[in-house]
Amino acid sequence: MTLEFHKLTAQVDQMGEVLADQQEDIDSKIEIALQILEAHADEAFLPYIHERVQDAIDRDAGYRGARPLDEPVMNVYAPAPLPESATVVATDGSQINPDAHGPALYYLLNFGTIVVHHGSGEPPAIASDPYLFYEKEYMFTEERGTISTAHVAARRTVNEMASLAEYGWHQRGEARPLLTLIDGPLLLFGMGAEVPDRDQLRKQYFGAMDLLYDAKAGLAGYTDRPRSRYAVGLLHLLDLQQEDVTRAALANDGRLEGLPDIQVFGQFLRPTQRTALFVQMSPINKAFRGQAGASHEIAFFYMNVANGDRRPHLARVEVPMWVAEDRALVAELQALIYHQCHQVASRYPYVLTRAHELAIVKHEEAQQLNMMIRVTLTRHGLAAEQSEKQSGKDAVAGARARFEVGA
Amino acid sequence: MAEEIWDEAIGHVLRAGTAGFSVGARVNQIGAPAFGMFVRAQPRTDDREAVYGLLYDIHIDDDPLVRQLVLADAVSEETIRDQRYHRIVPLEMSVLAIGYRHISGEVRYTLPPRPPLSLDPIYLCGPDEVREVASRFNYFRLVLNAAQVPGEQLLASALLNAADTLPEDERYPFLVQAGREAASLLGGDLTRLDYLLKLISPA
Repeated sequence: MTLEFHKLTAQVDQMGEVLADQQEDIDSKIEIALQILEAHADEAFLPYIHERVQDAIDRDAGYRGARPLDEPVMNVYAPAPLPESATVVATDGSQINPDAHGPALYYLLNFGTIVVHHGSGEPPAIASDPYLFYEKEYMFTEERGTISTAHVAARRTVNEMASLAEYGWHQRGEARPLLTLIDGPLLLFGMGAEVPDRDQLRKQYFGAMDLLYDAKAGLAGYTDRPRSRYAVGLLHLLDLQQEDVTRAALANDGRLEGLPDIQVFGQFLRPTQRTALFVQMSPINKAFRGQAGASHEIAFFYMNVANGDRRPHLARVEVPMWVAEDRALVAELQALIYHQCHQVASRYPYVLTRAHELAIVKHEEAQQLNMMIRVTLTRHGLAAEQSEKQSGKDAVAGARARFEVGA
Repeated sequence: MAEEIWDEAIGHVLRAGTAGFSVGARVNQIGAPAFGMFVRAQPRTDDREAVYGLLYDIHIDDDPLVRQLVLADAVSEETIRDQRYHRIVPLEMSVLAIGYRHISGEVRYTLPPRPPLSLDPIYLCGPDEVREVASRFNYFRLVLNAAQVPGEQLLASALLNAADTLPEDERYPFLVQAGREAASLLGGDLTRLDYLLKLISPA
């Protein structure tokens, strides 16, 4: 049965009203945020800001906001002129999750990579690399449970970086700068208790970053429409009296609660420009610094990738410290990312769109793989039927449209 | 010896019927084929006939990403070449069947006994083959009576293409002869005949 839209009409209307009210609230919070930002905009305030952040950490107040690196918090920076030649590598991944009702227990990771020799006029190189996992060591955790989808996602994230590093490494002799781009944050989220081999995965991830570090690559993680509130967390901290900084006070963003960073920076960041560089003060980033070294700590900035006269479209770009410390490289990456965003009308890097397209496993392809598995199992005298539940689901699914798997 | 354009397949059969077939190709293969060219669907096995036809439509499909690129400000050469070389953006060509090569080796100007199969390669006919196929005008009726094609335009283009394969002093007589054949078929429709003759008349 299809979705009964008439039953949703009132709910959608109500949703519109609530969101409009929220926007009014956001507008007043933006004003407060800009006041705090302006009050600390002068470079002379940087030591004070650093001191306040350090104080919050010393108090063990659970501070998760941003810390400016060495640039005034309200400064904006233009990109370098677009390099005449450069190498751009992008990777994305997708997966088929384990399905207890399928013909066999397995999961698949697929990685799409594109290598663009910017300025050459040559067609890019593309690759799609699928990996099938079915052996017990990959399918079961020590507690004998089947691997969770979160665990598969974590392995995918790590292997995305490994794939990017491998292709990036092979481009180290090509035109510079070398931009190696991945969709989403560089910080490794989703590595909690549900991922028992997280320590090993982290090592693998850092090893891949090491390869890119050795290649002197401009590694960057691109997050479109970010909802992060790291800078707002900093403004909230600065809004508090030093003696009021407690875990309870930092549990939310006070007068700025719910305000995303991009709403603040979007007020004054012009197209192509980036914000100052910040570091997110989280245990995850601390682990990056502690385990992989200071060069691997993750910094970030926001940049406006919109067209000249259009409304702002901000993205968050994360870079490791070895990139952040090289401002000429940051400016070149900024120019290349902006250029990539303007290859398509959607203001999203073309290379990431293509990497995604190369990685995505369509529903029909997943079905075809299941068929291949069934054939091979049957040839080896094994039962290869999907469960009764899955057969029932397939029967009612009929010709209805299906979403693609993964990514 | 350099490879000629007719030595390499321009695409492969997507769909086929007795009256014609559709050919799928990548966008970067658009260089060689043109409206009115003689093509051959080559069977992969000897037990089927090669089918001859005239290319009458070239259609380029879009997809959501292409639409995004069209609206973008300044698309780089690398991006355009990525689209043309790597992405599966199909170029679809339609072919009207005009005859086939019988197992005996003779070209027959009737609809083929069976259509080509999916994925059979499609070749442009080389000059010798065009001269052979176009040497008889028995296919005119198939072209002029086909509802789905612009008949006079297609026949005129085919005749001009065929004339180009002849020595210069044979071209005009060939077109005159073709015009006479068309007149015998379109005697009851002078508007169409006049249009066709104008299209093939030397400037």
